[in-house]
Amino acid sequence: MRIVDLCLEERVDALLLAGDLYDGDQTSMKTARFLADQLGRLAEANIPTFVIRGNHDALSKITRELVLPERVKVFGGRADVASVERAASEFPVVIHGLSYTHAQAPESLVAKYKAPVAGAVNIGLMHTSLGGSPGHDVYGPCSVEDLNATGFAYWALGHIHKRAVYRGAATVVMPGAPQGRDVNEAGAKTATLVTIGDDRSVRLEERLTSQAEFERVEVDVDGVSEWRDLAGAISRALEAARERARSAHLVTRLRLTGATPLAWRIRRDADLLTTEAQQRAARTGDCWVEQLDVACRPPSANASDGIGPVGELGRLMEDNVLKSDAFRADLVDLAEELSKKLPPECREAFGSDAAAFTDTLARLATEGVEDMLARLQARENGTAA
Amino acid sequence: MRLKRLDLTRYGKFTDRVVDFGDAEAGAPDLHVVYGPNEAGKSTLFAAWLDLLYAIPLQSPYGFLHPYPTMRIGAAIALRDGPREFVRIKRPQNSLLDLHGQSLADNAILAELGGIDRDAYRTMFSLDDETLEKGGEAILKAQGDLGQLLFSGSSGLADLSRSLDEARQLADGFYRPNARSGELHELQKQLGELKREREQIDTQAAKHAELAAAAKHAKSRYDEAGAKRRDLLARKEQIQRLLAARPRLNKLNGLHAQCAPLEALPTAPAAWREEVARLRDDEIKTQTQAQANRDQRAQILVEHDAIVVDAAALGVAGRFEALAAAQARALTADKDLPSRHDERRELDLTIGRLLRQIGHDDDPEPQRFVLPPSAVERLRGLIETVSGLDAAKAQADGELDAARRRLAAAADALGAADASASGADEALLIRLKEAADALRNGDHAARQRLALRQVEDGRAALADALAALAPWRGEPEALVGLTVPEAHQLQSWRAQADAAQDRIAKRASEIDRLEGEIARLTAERSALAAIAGLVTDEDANAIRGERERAWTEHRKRLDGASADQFEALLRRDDAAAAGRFAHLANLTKLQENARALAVAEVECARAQGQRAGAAADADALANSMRDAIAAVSPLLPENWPPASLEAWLGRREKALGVGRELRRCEADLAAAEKDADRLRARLAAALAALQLPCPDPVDDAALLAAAQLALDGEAKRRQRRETLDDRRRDLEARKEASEAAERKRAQWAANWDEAVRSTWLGEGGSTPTVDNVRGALNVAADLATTVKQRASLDERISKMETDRKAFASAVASLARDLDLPDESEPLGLHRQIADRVRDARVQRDRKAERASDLEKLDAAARELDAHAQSLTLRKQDMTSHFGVSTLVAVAETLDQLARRDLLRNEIAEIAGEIVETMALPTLDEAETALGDVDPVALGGELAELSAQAEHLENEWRDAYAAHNDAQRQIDAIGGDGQAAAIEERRRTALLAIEDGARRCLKLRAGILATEQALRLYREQHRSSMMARASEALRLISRGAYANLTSQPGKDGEVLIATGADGRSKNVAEMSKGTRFQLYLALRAAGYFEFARNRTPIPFIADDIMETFDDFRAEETFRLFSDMARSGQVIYLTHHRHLCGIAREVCPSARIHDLSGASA
Repeated sequence: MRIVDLCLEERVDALLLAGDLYDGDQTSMKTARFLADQLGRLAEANIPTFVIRGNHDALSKITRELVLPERVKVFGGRADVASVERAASEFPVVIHGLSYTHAQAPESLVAKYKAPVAGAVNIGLMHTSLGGSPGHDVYGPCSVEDLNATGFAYWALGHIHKRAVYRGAATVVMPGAPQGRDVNEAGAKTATLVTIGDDRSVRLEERLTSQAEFERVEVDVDGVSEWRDLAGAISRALEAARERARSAHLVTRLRLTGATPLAWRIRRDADLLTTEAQQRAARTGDCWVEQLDVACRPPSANASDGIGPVGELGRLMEDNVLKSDAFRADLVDLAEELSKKLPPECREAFGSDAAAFTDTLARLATEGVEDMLARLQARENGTAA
Repeated sequence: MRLKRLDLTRYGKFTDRVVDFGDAEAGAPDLHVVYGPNEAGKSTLFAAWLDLLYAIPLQSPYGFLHPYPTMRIGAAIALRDGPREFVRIKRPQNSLLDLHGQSLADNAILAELGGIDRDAYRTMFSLDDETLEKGGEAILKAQGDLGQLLFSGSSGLADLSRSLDEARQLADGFYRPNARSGELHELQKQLGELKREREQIDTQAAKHAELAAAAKHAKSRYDEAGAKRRDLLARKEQIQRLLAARPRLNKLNGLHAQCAPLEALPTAPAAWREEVARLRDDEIKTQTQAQANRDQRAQILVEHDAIVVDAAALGVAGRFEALAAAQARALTADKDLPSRHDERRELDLTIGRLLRQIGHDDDPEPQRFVLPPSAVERLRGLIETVSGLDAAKAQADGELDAARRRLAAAADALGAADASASGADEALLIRLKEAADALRNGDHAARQRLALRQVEDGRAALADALAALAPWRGEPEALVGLTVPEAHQLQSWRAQADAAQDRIAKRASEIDRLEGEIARLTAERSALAAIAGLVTDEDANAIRGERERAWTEHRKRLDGASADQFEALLRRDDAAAAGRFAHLANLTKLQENARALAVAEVECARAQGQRAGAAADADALANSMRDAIAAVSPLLPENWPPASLEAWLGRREKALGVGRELRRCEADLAAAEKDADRLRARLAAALAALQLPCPDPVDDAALLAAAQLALDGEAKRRQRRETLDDRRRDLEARKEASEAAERKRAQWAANWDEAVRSTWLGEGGSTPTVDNVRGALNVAADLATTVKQRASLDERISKMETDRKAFASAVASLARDLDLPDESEPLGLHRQIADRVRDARVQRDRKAERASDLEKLDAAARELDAHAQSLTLRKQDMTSHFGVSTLVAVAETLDQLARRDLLRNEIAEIAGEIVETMALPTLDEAETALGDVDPVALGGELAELSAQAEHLENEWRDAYAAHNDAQRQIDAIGGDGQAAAIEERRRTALLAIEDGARRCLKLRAGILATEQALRLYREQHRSSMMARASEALRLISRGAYANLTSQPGKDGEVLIATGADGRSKNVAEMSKGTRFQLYLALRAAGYFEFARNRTPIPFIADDIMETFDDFRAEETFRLFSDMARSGQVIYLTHHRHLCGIAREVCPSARIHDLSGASA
């Protein structure tokens, strides 16, 4: 809706959508109708929309059922060219497009596109993972050089959620998702407003589309010795992050670092602190705390972790227990038992492969030990030293 | 680490409180009991100790008396490197100081603690009721798990098992095998619900396609049926029109036939019909009115002419009316006159009576006796004043007599006083008074008393001050002349002496220490030397010397005896060497001992030398002081220290001051006495001058009394003389007053005489009395009133009679004019005239009325004529229009015209209906269309069409409903984000599950690791701690438990206590008290375990024996006493009897009383 608003506001000549309008095997006609209604708004304003289908769309049953307004051009499974309506006195602009018919496209699609129309500004619309990207399977792989060699003026790409721009013979833009889904897609998300000048130059502008943006916020609590000051440090960090954020809402993942005598207590009362941080975020305004990670340690001068029975117990855990095969085997049993009880979508909660599984378990064990020590440390009097 | 002394300089309720724990006694338990009643600050003491070690926290509860910036704690602590002094103040940084206020790094203490932080100290090295209670519970909760118990004994962390339980509960809260609850379960339930919800609201793509097809099919069916239906309805309607229009056309033709004969009539205005009727009515009415008018006029004319008017009466009417007022007066006079005459006769009688009263009967001129108001006023004034004058005279005479009597009395009194008069000189008397006043008011007496007291006090003080100067003796004057040293000299001596003493003391303590050290080393040497087989260096040298000598001897002699001797010594030497080798360690110690001893001895000698030097300095100083003291006075001891001399000199200064003060007071006393003498002499002289006897010339009181007596006598005489003079003056004044009263009375008599004579009252020759005149005055006043009344009445009577005459003559004149017979009674005549005048007026008015009526009737007749003419003209207009002669004919023609109009309207209406029914533009077209219609055939067609229409209608409706239904379902899919929102919630739930799973696994990993680590901990500490704990438990249970062992349990090894009877008990079987004991035993074992490996740290226990009986307290102290062999143990209590128990159990225990001085 924000993109459609933007198009209407800027009175654009055309909207290009480079695939993956829906995520996964989306079968909801409600969502599809919402899309159709929005594109209808553009059609009413006489703005054409050019759409190709991506790997997700290919999976989606609604793609076949959905009736889109007449001004929406959906490219088929064979490469095609469509012109953008323009006055006779102006140079012509044509859009090349090719839709996925299957969810997979292990080979480059560049060669399938038609040759550029002579005398016109040629714009390519392609769904591709380019050279591949971490966290994404390979779809229609190709290189920027391949694209530069096509003789097109502009390539509008889709698939990868992170924005990237390549300037060469062609201007290649992967605009990224218009809204981040989680903290791994941090920062403000945008659509790209492209202006082709009378001299056929290409000008790009990023326009904010994300309603909410995700952000990892590090809070340095080094030397902080009072709980109150700790909350203050969190507040300040949140305010600074809010200041930086451009979207209407900010969702943060906090990470506390540094050496502080409160380290044990922070670890033990992480729930409390999370609630406090969430309240502080609410006070900051349009700001949320999704998670709080504790990565702070006690100052070395106060190194009771090496001293006394608790320290000794800690050392035993660290030096003996965590390294023992018996412990590891027990832990794997626990993890597997738990994993079986999770819904299928969450089966990879402890890592998608064996190496990640081992890493996750080791990390969880270390943190679990830290947490237990924290519970023992600040137990007796309930307050931090 | 050991706490030697704790200074609570400014902390909590304490100010400058020192708790001195002293030095540890070698071999004796280092046990301390700090006793203080409730609120004495035991907890404060522990807090202060922690604050000293770890700094005072940001917020401290101990700043209530001494504010934060002034808080201060100090301590002497024995560290590994020796004793040190520390001071802790409250500030954010650098709060640890040394004795000189230099800041120290916190590490100076913390290093000794080996990084044990404040919390760890609290848990590991302190014990209170709550901890003990928790400890006992924890044993039960841990189900005797050996690892946990050992850990908790060492760390003091009682609730390890609780921490583990909590962690387990948290993990179970997410997921527990075979449980039908928990977060995971809830989240999965939520996922299921979300799925159902979505299925409910969302329409899948396939369903959508189905719906779209159905909608399309229904639409085409609907369109087709609609078209057929339209055609059929059109034909049906057409037939209905034709059938409806036909009868109307027939009727139209009939109407046209009726209307034809009327068409030739001329038209006329519609209003004529009404007008014709009106004209006919009007004509008749006008004729009737004209006749009535003429009849009325004739009758009124007859009436008018019959009326006759009395002209003569009308002529006198004016004059008659003018008589109205005169007539009224004449009527009144007739009524009043007789009573007025009666009144006048009565007044005459009254006047006669009054004249008789004053003795002038029948005097023809009563007016003469009326007195003028001025005369009456004067006489009345005189009458009023006479009584006042008489009274004043009588009073003046009385007062004159009294004054005479008072004068005589005063003269008598003066006569007696005059006899004792001395006729003293006024000037002398004034001198006497002044002298007496001076003596009385002088301050000499007070000054004398004050000075006398001060002199006495001063003498006593001087005696004291002199006595304080002992051993010096002598007169005060002698003190002044002494030669004394200067103050700065004294100070210098004092400083030197102090310095010398300080040095001596320091050296002495050093010597003490060194001698102690030497003694210790010597003892050590003896002890080492006593060790069997140990050969000292001296012994070894001696043996080696003997061996060498034997060798020389043997070389010389080379015989068997020498060889034996040499062999024996050689063996001894070997044995010595072997011994030395065997005791190499002890030998080294011995050598070190010798070195240390030598060093100590040298240091000791040096210290002694320094002490001697300091002593010599002190002696030299003493000598110079001695000289100075001798110079002051031989009576003073020569060996006085500077301080004594300084004090003595101070006392001397004080004695001198007291002497000076005494002399000043004596001078004051003398001056006061001199003043007194002078004043007495002056008074005595004044008395003498008056030749009065002078009593004791030094007695102030007697002198003053004599003077006062003389002065009082003189004052009395003077007062009496003044009284006599006053009386004389009074008498003269009284005389004058009496004479004046007499004169006023005589004057009045003259005035009276004159006043009486000026009126008729004085006519008789003699002057009348006051009373006579008073009566005459009253009568004269009445007479005046009566005479005045009579005159007024006479005037009114005459006026009435005049009016009567005038009225009679006027009436008579009118009667003559009207020719009435003359009558004597004017009022009767007046009435007749009045009747005549009234009648004349009535007739005149009636005639005028009839004349006016006639005029009105004439005017009405004229109007009727004009109206009749206009009616005739209008009638002619109408008759000529229709060519008839009468209005009746006109009315008939108009009726015919109305009928023609009705017919025409009906024709137009029916024509319109036909056009409308046929839905054609004109009537002609409609007539054409209706020309060749067969109504029977049309009726048949219509019936058939109706049957078809019903069938088509149903089909059309069904198609519409089917289409509508399909479309509604498609529309219901909507375009909102509800499905997306559910998807989002589903994702959130999945994330929560992943997050929870990781959290749960993390907790499980932590628990698992802790459990395994505790097993390792158990293995590492089992042997040493179990032995210690067994011993401790045996001790505090008085042998009820002989031993602690372990045996495998459900989740690991558990602790078992073996009783003296050989029976084993697990922790669940133990009583609560026993579990406390077990916990104590474990803590003791933990403490030993710590002390075994590390420098021990003071252990603080806070009143844990509140609920213990004496036996248990005793055993517990025994345990503490045992612990106190390893390190310092401080027990805080507010039970005094515990101090006794502690002493009994451990004689070396030291008791510190916080409520008073430390014991």
